[in-house]
Amino acid sequence: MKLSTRARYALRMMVELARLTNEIDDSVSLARIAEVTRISRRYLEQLAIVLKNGSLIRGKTGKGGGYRLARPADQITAGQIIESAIGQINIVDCVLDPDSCTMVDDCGCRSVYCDINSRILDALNDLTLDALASNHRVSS
Amino acid sequence: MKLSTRARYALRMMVSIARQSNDGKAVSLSDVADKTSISRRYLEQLAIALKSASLVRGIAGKGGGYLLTQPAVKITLGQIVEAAIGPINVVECVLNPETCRESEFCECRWVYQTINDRIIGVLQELSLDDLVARPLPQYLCKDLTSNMSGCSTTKIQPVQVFKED
Repeated sequence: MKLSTRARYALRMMVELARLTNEIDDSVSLARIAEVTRISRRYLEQLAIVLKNGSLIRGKTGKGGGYRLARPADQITAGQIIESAIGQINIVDCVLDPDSCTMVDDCGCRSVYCDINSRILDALNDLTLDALASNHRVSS
Repeated sequence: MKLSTRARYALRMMVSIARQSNDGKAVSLSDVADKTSISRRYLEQLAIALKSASLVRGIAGKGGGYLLTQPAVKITLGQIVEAAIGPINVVECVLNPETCRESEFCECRWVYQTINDRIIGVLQELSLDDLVARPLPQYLCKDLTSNMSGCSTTKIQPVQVFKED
């Protein structure tokens, strides 16, 4: 059970975007983020699209263009970032989509999967980008 | 991020063995295959892993099969999952910081650590008996609905996980 690279890169991209935006108070180019994160520009471009669709970042075109957070970092959660990148957390298909399994009605295991899923969500929704970017460890 | 089929099948297999061995008789893999709809071949592989972890023991010969090595209440779901797929480790760096040169100063690593801890927490809190002892697992499921909107046996709406802007 692994958290996908796409989710990890989205988090890293947002952390750096939050930091750099703080420093220069302006849009940050993907080239700059690529430098700091060592994620390829091409990958960042893909992520930028989904993060924009998730209303987490805003793009600015033209000279001095780039991206900035759509709202303050303390109003963005790790859960929102990961959901934008890879969709809803759903560690077993039956959790969100009971129709996907014929045994749902008498499955003892599904409740465990629901429980794991909801605890992951709780954890991710408790973590703000601001806490991540300022590396302030929240006791969990 | 998915819990692997191997882990899910191992849980299902253990529930089946626990339920069927109530009278102290060994449970054959054919019986488990009947109840779980998991192929016998797959069950044989799992049996090896579960035996190595000392969670089941095999009885050879006529009437042979598998038995739990200890009461279901003493076997945690974490032990079963770990026997099947190894330690829970959602990102390589959580258990092996040396695999990434950024581990020391990485802001994200503790997110992964937190996710990992939550998953392990659930699996260690629950015993095999928790799964077996509930003829109507919906009870357990209903308890959970307090934490999570929509975990029932009827069709649920996708959970509204994230707040609107």
